[in-house]
Amino acid sequence: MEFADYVATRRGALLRFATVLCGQTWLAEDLVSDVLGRAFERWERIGVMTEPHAYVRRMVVNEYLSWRRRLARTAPRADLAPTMPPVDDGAQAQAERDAMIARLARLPRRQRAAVVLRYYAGLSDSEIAAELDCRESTVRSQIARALATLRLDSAAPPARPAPGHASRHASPPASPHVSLETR
Amino acid sequence: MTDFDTLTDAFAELERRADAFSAQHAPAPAGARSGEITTIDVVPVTARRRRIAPAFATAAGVLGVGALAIGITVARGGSTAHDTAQSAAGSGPAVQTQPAGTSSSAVTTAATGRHTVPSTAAQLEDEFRAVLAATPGIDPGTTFTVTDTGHAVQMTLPGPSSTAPAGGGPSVPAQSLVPNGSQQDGAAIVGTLTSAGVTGGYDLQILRTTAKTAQCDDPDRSRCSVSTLADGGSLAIGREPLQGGGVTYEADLVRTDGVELLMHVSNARDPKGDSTVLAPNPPLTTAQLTSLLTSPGWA
Repeated sequence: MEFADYVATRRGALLRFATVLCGQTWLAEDLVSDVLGRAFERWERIGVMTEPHAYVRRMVVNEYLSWRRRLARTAPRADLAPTMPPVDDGAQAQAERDAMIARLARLPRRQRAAVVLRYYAGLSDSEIAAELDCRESTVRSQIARALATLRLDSAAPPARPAPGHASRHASPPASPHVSLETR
Repeated sequence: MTDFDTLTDAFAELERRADAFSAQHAPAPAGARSGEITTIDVVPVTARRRRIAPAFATAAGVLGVGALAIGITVARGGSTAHDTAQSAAGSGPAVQTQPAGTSSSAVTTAATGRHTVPSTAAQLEDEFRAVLAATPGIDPGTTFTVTDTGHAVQMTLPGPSSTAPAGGGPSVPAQSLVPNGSQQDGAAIVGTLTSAGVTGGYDLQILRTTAKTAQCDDPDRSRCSVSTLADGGSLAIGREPLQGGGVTYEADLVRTDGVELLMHVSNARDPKGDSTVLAPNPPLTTAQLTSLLTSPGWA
């Protein structure tokens, strides 16, 4: 695959992944741009890989975790959490969603990366361990701590792929690798 | 306890924001920017976001396909092959003190209507020094160092309207036209600035732009506002917290003559990253930043 073709077809997916990963669109764009720049330099090797996108996505994760990306990203929406009693008109679901985004933003980076790779990208423990360069047991503990912060019950993982994400997200954590973006 | 559907919704919302961001920064229609250099006539993929990339991270490849419509690459200490012509200026900190009597020429230059932008960091340093001296409200003893330099490049990515050579041959990806940042149209400097006894990091970029409106670094944040100036220019002023007690003030000015000035100033050594906090506050206020960027002393 030529680099230009890769960028044309996958950049949008990379930007979505990076936004889920770091929570800020502009930061995600910056991150993706840096990664694509470096990928271009190595494209002779990356382009012939079986799954070049998986490699580039891993570059995105590494870049996100790198020391160069330490701008504090407080979540302003968390500060603006609604204080009024919830009304069952859809606003409640939106409020819960925004609160979840705020909680995601407060996760330590490695925990957030583990959660995103598990529940967004659908990677298995071993795959996440490979991406994060750690042991599988570490992945499990990172995710367990993250779920506690997110107030999610680890005993009740999602029973089905995310609505609107079925084509891109593997649902069961233990499933074999499923390519993140199929577009 | 929240269920996993909420997490899924959160992911979906973040995806939606990414898509909205992409749409917001969609390429301009082909032909909308006639009269500009060839590379700009190729449809850019994304936003005109400017950034400063650590030099050790990338060299020419980043410039070519950094997936940005406009980008800045900084040569740090001449350690990269990129932009070697500027390596001397970037080879180490050098204190720049405002020389007396340099402001008048800069103001005169602006008055002549020569709407050019510095093409080298050294030129930008000279202009910055002159404008600092000429800007009311800024301590005349203000000094700055330059630790990194770079140039602005109009960068594009291949799109549906990639340039097609005459004769029906294969289209040429846009990045091949800017292999080494050859389409320079601006400059950038990075370092520390000391004003009224307060030292902090800064970066300053000046470039030609096709944008009509200034842009906040993070459009989602409430700490940044964009306003239209009396002369029709567009100014974004923002405040961005950093880890460890740092804060960065940002100012982006898009002038009506198509020149854009972007400056960050921070109480930390690095306005855009985790670094040592040098002072309780940045050396310049947002009001001073505004005065600085809107100064008629810029060419």
